[in-house]
Parts: sequence; structure tokens; C-alpha cells
Amino acid sequence: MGQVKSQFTEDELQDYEDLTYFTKKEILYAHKKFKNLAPEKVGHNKNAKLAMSKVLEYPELKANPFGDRICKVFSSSNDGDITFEDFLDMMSVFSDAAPKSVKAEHAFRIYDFDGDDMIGRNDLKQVIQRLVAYNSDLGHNDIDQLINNILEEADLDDDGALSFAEFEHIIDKSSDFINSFRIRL
Amino acid sequence: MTMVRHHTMLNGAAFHNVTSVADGRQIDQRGVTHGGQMKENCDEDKIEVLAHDTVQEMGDAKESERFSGSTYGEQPVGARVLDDRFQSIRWDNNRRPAGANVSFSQSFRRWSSNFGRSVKNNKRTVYNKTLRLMPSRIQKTFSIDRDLITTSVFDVDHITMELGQREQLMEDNPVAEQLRIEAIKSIAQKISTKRQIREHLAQTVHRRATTRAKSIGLLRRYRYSGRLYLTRAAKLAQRFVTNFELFYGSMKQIEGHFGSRISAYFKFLRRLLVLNFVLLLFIVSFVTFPQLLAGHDEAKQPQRNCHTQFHLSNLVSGEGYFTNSVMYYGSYSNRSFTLVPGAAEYSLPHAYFLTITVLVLATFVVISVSMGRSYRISFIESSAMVQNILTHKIVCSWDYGIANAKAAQLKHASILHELRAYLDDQQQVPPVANRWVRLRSTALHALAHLTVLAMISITAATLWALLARFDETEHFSSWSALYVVLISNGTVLAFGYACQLLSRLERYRQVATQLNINLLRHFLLQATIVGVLLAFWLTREHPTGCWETAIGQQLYRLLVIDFLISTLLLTSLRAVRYVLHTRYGTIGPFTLLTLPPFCIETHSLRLVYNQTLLWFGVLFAPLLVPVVALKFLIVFYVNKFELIYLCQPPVRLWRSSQMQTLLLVLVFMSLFGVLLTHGYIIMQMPVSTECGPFRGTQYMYQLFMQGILKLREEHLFWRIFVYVTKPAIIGGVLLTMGVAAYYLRAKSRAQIAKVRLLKELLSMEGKDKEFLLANLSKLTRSKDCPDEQLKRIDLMGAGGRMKGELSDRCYIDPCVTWRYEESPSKKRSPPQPPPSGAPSEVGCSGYQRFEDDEQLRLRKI
Repeated sequence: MGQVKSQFTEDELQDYEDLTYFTKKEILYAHKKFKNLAPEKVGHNKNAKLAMSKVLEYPELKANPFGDRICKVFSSSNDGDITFEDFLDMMSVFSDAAPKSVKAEHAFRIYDFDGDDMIGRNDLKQVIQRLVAYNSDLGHNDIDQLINNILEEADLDDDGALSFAEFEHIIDKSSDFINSFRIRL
Repeated sequence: MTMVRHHTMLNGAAFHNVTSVADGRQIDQRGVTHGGQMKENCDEDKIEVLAHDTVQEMGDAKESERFSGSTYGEQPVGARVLDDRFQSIRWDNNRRPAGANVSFSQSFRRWSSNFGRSVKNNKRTVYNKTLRLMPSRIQKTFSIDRDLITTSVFDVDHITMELGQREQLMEDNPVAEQLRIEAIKSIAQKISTKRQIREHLAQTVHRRATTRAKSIGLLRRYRYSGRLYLTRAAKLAQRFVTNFELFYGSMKQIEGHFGSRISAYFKFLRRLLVLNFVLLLFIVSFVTFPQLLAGHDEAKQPQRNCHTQFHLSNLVSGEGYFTNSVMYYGSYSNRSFTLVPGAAEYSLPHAYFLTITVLVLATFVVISVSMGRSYRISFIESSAMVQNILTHKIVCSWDYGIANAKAAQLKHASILHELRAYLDDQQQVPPVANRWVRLRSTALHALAHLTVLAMISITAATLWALLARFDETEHFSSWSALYVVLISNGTVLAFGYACQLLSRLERYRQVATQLNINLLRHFLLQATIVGVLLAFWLTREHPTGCWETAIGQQLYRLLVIDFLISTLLLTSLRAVRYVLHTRYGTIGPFTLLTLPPFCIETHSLRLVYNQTLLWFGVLFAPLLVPVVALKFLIVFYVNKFELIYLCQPPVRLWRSSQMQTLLLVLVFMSLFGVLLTHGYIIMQMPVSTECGPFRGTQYMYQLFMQGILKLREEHLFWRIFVYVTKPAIIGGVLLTMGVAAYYLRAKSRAQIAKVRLLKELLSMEGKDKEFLLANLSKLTRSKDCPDEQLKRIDLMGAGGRMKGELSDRCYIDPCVTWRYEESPSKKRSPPQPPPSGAPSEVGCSGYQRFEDDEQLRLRKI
């Protein structure tokens, strides 16, 4: 894992260890992974900012229909570009050690496309479309019906959107969420 | 520069007033906590005291001298902190809607409601529940007087302040520091923000520590250092464990290719493997190693010495060289000896007995506990959410671990399929509950079950007959294991096909039911096979020699041949099939040779079967453990290879957590059976007189009873033991457990009913709210309202909810601000509805939001 001479000082590692759910070794490993995305750039400057398209080459993000959303949520410049700290943050949230609550919070942000702090009909529509890879087999009427059913199930206060509390309520009861919302480093 | 302006506009009175307008909840809180101050019951609930502290800091603007010591940037922290409040003040003073302000007040409300919640909950959840719900989700940039300010600065201050109000976190000692780190970790923020927060907190702590400097007592210092070492040790252990996660790379590969549901099987396999390694460690160090040190008994019957030449066939048969090795029960000595001269004696029989019984019992306990936990998590806790199935399908369906385009496609397809099935199910008119239809389907199911039972009993009878037949001739009796394994493997295969056929006939509505029933049937079959074998071995006559060793050898042969057949042979068959498929897949008859699906049920059941045999056999052959461990290790890699190259990933799957639970239940059941059998053997089976550690006693347990405890019949402990093991007592205990289970079940049902009621209540309240808002808007319309505002109220009253476009419109429209300032007289009248659209909307949606939280909390109780 850390056989190459480290780009980090002990203090920096300790700092990251305190702020994320990773151990020092895992942090170094994460950096290695990050470096693999753009070896020359990151080798030059360990905190280099990588463009979203570059980050989306990370296998798990590439396969994920919400890859760009994940980048945007974790990007500190809010445009999808990712620095190493953002990457570390991302991996920490997706790691096994992160508690359900932290994961739920980030999942909510990922699914909240328009950023209005509620998962509304449009957000749900996008989520469903992305989940089925924009397959035309699921028409607009079908999606509308799905959304109606979802809101009927989960929208407890009938305001036409899922608030964080409602979302968390769903997540809280789900035993699978923590298994599925996870990326191995 | 805007900040400075805010600062100058600030005064204490306005602060008080506006906070109360902005957040009526805050007033309540204050009232409550002042009441709480009278009691001052710090030990019982520290949160209450904290709340009091909060109020003091917030309400008393003059107390900002606490903050004035340090600086943040160029401004005093106090000013900055109050600036946060000031966002809401401005919002009210100027009647100026802005997106970020909206979310600020929401998040503040969210925080305060959580704060209220935290008073009731216990201490630990305070950190979990409150910190992450703070204004963490405000990511937008917003403008104040056309200046763009990112919210992160604002967030940092806000969160720092909230954290600073928790006395437990802010103490200047290592424990609090640890807590602080944990708290900061759990904030859903970026690393840079977290770092800033940490620095601020450290500054605050340092400052407070210097102002309230007092020396720490010796005892307390010891306590701190003790806890510090403890957490450090825990961290170290955690690091150690994460470094040694078995098969990390393989697991990642499997998860990346096939998702978490299939990796559940491999996790199960890994779990069993680890368990076996632990068993191995104990058995080798307590039983085998001392025996090797002590050496063979000279008194042992020498007639078998001719077999001690090692031969390759011994590896399969487990005889010859192995017969007198430490592999089996027979070669263990019944002596006590001193390993180190001068030290106490080491009694091998006791070691043998204790190690194995304790290990099996401990495994049983571990498995029961983990089964209980898993069951609770995946069935009980999620049972109240049966109505949320669709939402689960949407929200939790994507497996974030998938890292492979093909797997992603497969996942998309399976999600589409599921949604389609759901929709079809919805659109289909539910069939009229025809009595005949129902009767027919019930009859069909019953028939299928009966057929399966009949098949199983026929298998059992045949097996018994064959065993009895084999037993007559010498050749067959030593190789009967081969035939038994062949028969059982063949039966399982044929049975699998038969079950598939049956399940196609049965047509269960739910896929999960079908899978479960299939799994149960397979398990029943395997349990029957194992049961017949054990029953046969235990009941037959043992004229001479070591029947324990003989059973151990049989088990060894079973395990090895099962490995050869079901793992190596079947896999190579699949490989051949794969080669044929890829080479000649397009030609004539070979088109039928599609890749077989990777059948998780059979694979996991095979594991359970092997593990059952091992648990049973460990009493007769302690070194079966390394054999099985090695076998599982190879099976892991073979299965991985098979899954990735030779098979199709299965289409129908359980939910991964449920599957884990099911497998654990099966393991539990088989282990329970093994325990009963062991109990029977220990208590009722006379041991063989010529070999083994227990020769000289009649039953195994006698050694334990007389030798270890030195108990006599009249001893009190003995009497208690006898009393406790009386059937009436055991029956009573079982009965109590049953009653308890019934009670818990009833309770959980009641809770489900309660949840339903509360949900109804909630929607009713929503309707009430809409009605009230409509009335209010009518009222305001009748008063002196400008036309435009009236329109806005109309919009909002009709919906009674927050609409994104609307607030955006107000936000963009610059004249809105201007209009608010024009009519300042109305703004300080909280009971009246705010006369313009946007702010009232904020209030309403915020209020509504809080209600939700309250209700949700009720639901959770």
C-alpha cells in the first residue's frame, strides 16, 4: 500500500484520520487510487483538482447512473471537480465505517437534483429514469404512476415531496440501504 | 463589508424579538429549560443543563464577552456568531426572501426540534441525531445585496456554535477531545469545513480552559488516561482488523461484478472459514499439541502398526496411516502428564472434553446471537415498513459497489423488470377471491409439499437400506461413504430439478416465497440425509475396536469425497460446458448448452451441510477442522472462478440482508441438531473400552462430573444441577421463552397498528393545515392587501406548501424587497399571517416541517 515514498507528512495523515472514517493506511491507499486517475497530475501536486470527466473514470462511479451527482455533491467547488480531499470525503462516506445517518444525508443530497432540500416529483422522475437507464420501456405514464405511488407511500405530510425527515424515515427502516450504499476502497 | 453593516444594525432587543418571531419553538425551549434550571438535575440528564447553557449564550447578547477573547478572521467571534442569528433577523426586518435564508431557518428549526428530541433521548444519540441534521445541506451560494457569499463560512460558524454549546464536548480533557473528533466526523460536511470547525472548537476550548482554569484531580487524571488508552487500543485493534480483512481484493472484485447480493454468499463462506480457523487454533493448542508432546501410549494395541506406512489412497479413505494419528479420537491418551517438569499435571481427557464442548457451545451462542441480531435488523425492524416497498425499490436499489459496465447493465435491466412487474401488478385487477380458485391453489400447494415430503422419505428409506446392505460386507463398509456421497449428491441434483418443476407448477405470487420454500426443501433433504447417516452409525452394533474412530473416518471420507465430487468434478463439468458453449455455441445441438446460472441456494446449503458434518465430527476427529477449513478455502477460490468465468449471475435473488439471516437460521438449526446429538452421545452412548481419552469410564460425561467438579451425589451444587435439569424446569423455561416471544410479537404488531394510526393522523393534520391556510388567506384578502400580494397568498394558500418556482420568482424580483420595507408596521405581529407570499411561506413550510419531525419522532418511539 505505501511502499512508494509518501506524499504526505505524518501530521497530514493524522489530520485526515481525525476527519474521516479511514485509517492512515487506507488514506494512503485512497490516494493511490486517486493518483491512478491522473498519475502525472496528481504525482505533481497531491491536491490537484481533477475534472469531473476524469473522476468519472473511477470504475464504481463510471458504472453508477448517479456518478455525476455524486461528484457534484462531494465537490468543494460545487461544479463536480474533485480534489483529493473531496475524493477522500466521498470514499469515507461510502466506506463501511460510516454510520447510516451520514450515508442517508449524502444519499438525500444525491437524489435531490434541484437542490431545494426536498425530493420532489422532478427529482424522483430523474432518479427513476436514471435507474432504468432511460429505457423507453417505462413510459411517462408509468413513471408518473410510480411517483404517485411513492409519494403515497412515503410522503407522510402530503406536501408532494419527500423531506429529509421522510427520506430518513425510509432509510432508517431499510436493512439493505447500508449494504447497497457502499463502495469498497 | 455586509457583515459589518449587519453588525452595526444589531441590537439585543431586536435580537430577542426577532428570534422569537423566526422561531416560536425557541421560546418554548427557553421556557422549558428555565423550568429545568430550577431542578438542575445535572447527573440524570446533562442535556437539560446544556440546553440551559444554550439559552444563556444565545439570549444574553451581553454575554458575548465570552467570545470576545478570540478572533476569527478579522472579526470577534461573538460578532460572527451573532451574525448567524442575524441572517434570520434580516430576513424578518427586511422582509426579504432569499433561498439560503429559507434553508437556514429550516435547518435551524430542524436543529431545534432535534434539540428538543435529544432531551428525551439518551445521551449517545444526541451526537448522532443532532449534529448531522444541522445546516449541513445548505450548499447553495446566496446573495446579500448582490454580493455572492458562499455558505461554507456561514456553516462553519453556525456548526461551531452549536457544537460549542455542548458542555461534554467542550471540556478540556482527552475524553472530550475524543468525543469532539467523533462529533466532527459525523457532520456531513466537507473536509475543509470540518477542519475549520475543529480549529475553531480547539480555540474555544483552549480559551475556556484558560479562563476556568482549575487543576484536575489525580483520580480524574487517571480516569482520563485510562479511557484514552482504551480508545487508542480500540483504534489499534480496528486498524489491525481492517488490515487483515480476508479476501479483500476478491470481495471487491465480486461486488464490483455482481453486486452485494451475491457477495452475501461469499461473506457467509468467509465467516465460516474464520470460525473454523478459530476452532482450529483452540483445538490444536489445547488438545493436539499436548498429545503430540506426550507421545503415544505404549499400552496401545500394536496390531495396527502394520498400517502406519503412508499411502496416497489414505488421503481419500482416511484410514491406514491416519488411523492411529492424532486425527481421530482413538489415538488420544487418557493419561495425565506433566508437560514441564515440576509443573501441574495436564489431564488430556479433561482438555479434550472441555475444549470441544466449550467450543461447540460457544459457537452455538455466537451463532444464536448473530442470528438474533440479523433477524431483528432485517425482519423485525423493517416489518413496520411493509407499505414502503416501492420506495425501497427506488431509493435503495442501486448497488453503489458495482464497478463493471456489464453488471451495471444487468442491474438496470433487473430494476426495470422489477418496476415493470410492480406496475403490472398494480394495473391488474385483483382477482376476485373465488373460493374455488383459492381452494385449488391451496390444494396444489399441499400436493406439492406432500410430494416433496414423500420424495424425502423415500430417499431416507433407500439410504438406510443401502447402508444396512453395505454394512454386511467388509469392502462395502469401508467404502460405503463413497456410495453414500454419490447417492446423496445425485439425489440432491435430481431433487433440485424436481423442485424447479414443482415450483413452476405451484406459481407463488412472490418470488421471495418461492425461493424460501425451495431453500427449505433442500435443507430438509440434506438434514434428512445427515440424520439417517448419524442414526445408522449410532445405532448399529459395535463389536470390537473404536467405533468413535470409525465414525470419524466415515465423516472424513464423506467430506473429502463430497469435495471431490461437488466442487472439483462439477466445476470441471461446468468448465467443459463453458468451453463447448463458447466454441460451438452457434452450431446445432450445442445452442441448447447455455451457461448455467450460479445457484446460490445449493452452494450455501452445501456449506451448511459441510459445517454440520464438521460440528458433529469434531468430537470423534478433532483434526477434521483443518480439513474443512482447507476445503472451504479452496471452495472460495473455485466458486469465485466459477462465478466469474463459468456461470451466469443469477437473475432472481433475495435481498442480501434477508438472505444472510436465512443462512444463519439454517446454520443455527443444524448446529442445534448437532448439539442434541452430542448431548445424547455424551450422556447415553457407552464409550469404547480400548481407545480414546475416555477409556475407563462408561460414559463421557462421568469423567467430567466426577473428575473435574469432584462432586458427590450429596453436594449442594450437584443437587442444584439435578434440580435444574429436571424436565419440568426445562419445560418451564421453554414455556417462558415462548410466552416472551409471543409478547414481543404482539407488541410489534401493536406498534405497526400504531404507526398506521399515526400516519392517518398526520395526513389529517395536513388537511387541517391546508384548510386553515385557505381561511387565513381569505381573511387577509378581505383586509387592505395590495393586489400582487393577494395573488401570491392565493397561490400559496391553495397549495399550502412550498413551491420552488414561486420562491425563485420572489427571489429574483428585486422590487419585492423594496415593498417589504415600505410597510414595516405589519412585520412584528406574529399571530397575524405575514402579508406577503414568500416569508409566510417560509414560516408555513418550516412549521409544517417541524410538525413532521415531531410526528416522525412519535412514530419511532
